[in-house]
Amino acid sequence: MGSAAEKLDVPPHMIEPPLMEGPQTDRTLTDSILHPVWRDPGRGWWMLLGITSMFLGVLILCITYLLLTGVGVWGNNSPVYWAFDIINFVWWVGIGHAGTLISAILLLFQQGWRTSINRFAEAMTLFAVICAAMFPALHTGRPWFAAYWLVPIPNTMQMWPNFKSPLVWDVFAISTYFTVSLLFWYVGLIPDLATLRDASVSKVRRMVYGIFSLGWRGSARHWNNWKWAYLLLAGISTPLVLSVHTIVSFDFATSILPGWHTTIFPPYFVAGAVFSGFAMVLSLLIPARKFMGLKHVVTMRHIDNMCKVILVTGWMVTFGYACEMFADWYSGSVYEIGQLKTRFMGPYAPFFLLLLFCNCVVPQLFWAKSMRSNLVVVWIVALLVNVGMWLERFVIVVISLHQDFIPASWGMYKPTIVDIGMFMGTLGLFGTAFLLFLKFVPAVALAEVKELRYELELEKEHAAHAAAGGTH
Amino acid sequence: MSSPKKAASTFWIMGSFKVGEKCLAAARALRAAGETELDIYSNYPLHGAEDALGLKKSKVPLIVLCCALFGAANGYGIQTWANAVGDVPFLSGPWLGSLRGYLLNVGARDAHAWALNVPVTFELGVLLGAFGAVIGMLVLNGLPRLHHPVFEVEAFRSAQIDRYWISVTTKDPAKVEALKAQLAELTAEEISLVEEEAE
Repeated sequence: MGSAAEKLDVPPHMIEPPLMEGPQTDRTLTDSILHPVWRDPGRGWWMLLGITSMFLGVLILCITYLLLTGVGVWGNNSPVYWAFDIINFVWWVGIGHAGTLISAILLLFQQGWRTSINRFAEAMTLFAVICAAMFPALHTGRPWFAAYWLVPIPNTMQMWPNFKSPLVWDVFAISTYFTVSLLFWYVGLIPDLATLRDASVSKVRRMVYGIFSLGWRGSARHWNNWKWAYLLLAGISTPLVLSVHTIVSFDFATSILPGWHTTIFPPYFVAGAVFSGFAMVLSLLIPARKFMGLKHVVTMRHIDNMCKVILVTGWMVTFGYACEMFADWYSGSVYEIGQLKTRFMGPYAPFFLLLLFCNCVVPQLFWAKSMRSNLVVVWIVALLVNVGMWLERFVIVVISLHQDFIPASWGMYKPTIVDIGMFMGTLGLFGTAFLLFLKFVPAVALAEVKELRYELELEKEHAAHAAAGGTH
Repeated sequence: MSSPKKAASTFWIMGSFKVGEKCLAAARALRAAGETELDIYSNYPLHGAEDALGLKKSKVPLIVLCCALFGAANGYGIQTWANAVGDVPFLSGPWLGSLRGYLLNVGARDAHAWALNVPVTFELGVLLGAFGAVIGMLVLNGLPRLHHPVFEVEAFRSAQIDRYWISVTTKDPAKVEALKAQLAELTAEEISLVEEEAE
């Protein structure tokens, strides 16, 4: 591609940056990608781990207090029965979606640029789904009883879940999503764990990585089955990831509450999930690639592509808002129009306006190439999108609930210290898990990057061959 | 155990290459020479290895299909059973114990409404399909198996880093030297021999 572009006198700013920088061999890739695992993590890593595990401690404290006291320690009230717990649940699940999108959907579309970021994004998915699943489970107040009405367990009470309830679908969707993401991640990891086993000098590491790599030999027979397993996992993850946020949106859309009762929800939740997920990948990847020396495999091309995905999904989300507002107005329903007015002019209006700013206005910076290649701008935009998507869930959950049909039942919602502690706590859990992941496992899928290197070289050879043939 | 005749050992003759294509060429040459117990080891899926070794198409897809259909059928079945089947006389004897369904009537809607069963049916199909892919792949590969003759060669570590290894297996001690020479001729390096004693 590069040579063809040079021939056509394409101006330099139009040439796409490469997927992999510098001349690389299998050895240099192994060394550079495994380096963060072998080296001493350094003071910065320990400091970050200290901060995140402090928040993790806050989470444990809050959960203990909640279980000992009851869900009354949250700010949820009548009429705002769902609040921070469900906002955080939807937000975290949405963040997870980018991981599966990158690892599965982009694999099926044979997008070479997914290869160096998929491991990273899949790990993000796993930790985000753990954070998410915690909230609805705790929202039941006594999670150990919830098993009876969520999962069909034969019991002496002859009690079965109501399978017509989207809340039960949600349990199946989230638990399947977590399990499949974990399996997908692990299957991709097995060859790299074998590389860690065979590249390590210390005996303990050799044993530990040896056990986790299950005795992988890299035999052609292994790869033959592995390729199919990996491809099929991608194939079934693709409809799965679309189903998960669709089902999450059913939790709202199947009710009759103004602000929830809308058919645009499933596609617009999925687009929003991808939007926020890519923003989270960028927020984590930009610092990580710098501090872990991964700039040669996670290049500006990756960042640029992710910015474009954010721009596109940002417009999908904006379109969703527009559709929703139009439907509110066009319905002629006094309650739907009332809900729309409340969003713009009600007591929580600043949150709604900030949401529109973060999700609809800020990403428009990415139209400009100069903005997409300025890492500081990209990072700030990504953070603002995360904020915007959290606010979107706040708007959907709290604003819709706080003023519904009868003014007599209206009320206000205010989070308690436990609500805030738990949200910060899940950020701590996520951060701790992520830092441990960065230390013990290669953050870039090594075997897949090596295959990509091989394919890029083949491509180059073909191009050279074609160019030579053309002159004859 | 008390058999007087000791079973024959298996000999693993191994060699490594810097370039994948040479490894493939060696595999093709050995296969043409009539060797069947061949394998190639690489640190990423080496393109063309299946053809060079004449491997059959993986059975993983079939396993995934069966598991996914089984999961989906279970998903549909459990929902119908739990919510739409009440005290059907021949299904509710004491032999079933607490395993009885309950005819759940919510707002006089249909007890069995297939559209509402779709999400859980789909999710369970995906879940079991994914387990089928992973467990099927591991079982077909004979994993986990932490100990294997090829790991006896210290240099084989490079198979997971940057070199391509080939192994040819024989039970005939007389053939060992000839195979070693053949590998050397095919420009293999680090030629090594592992004797796997039969138990």
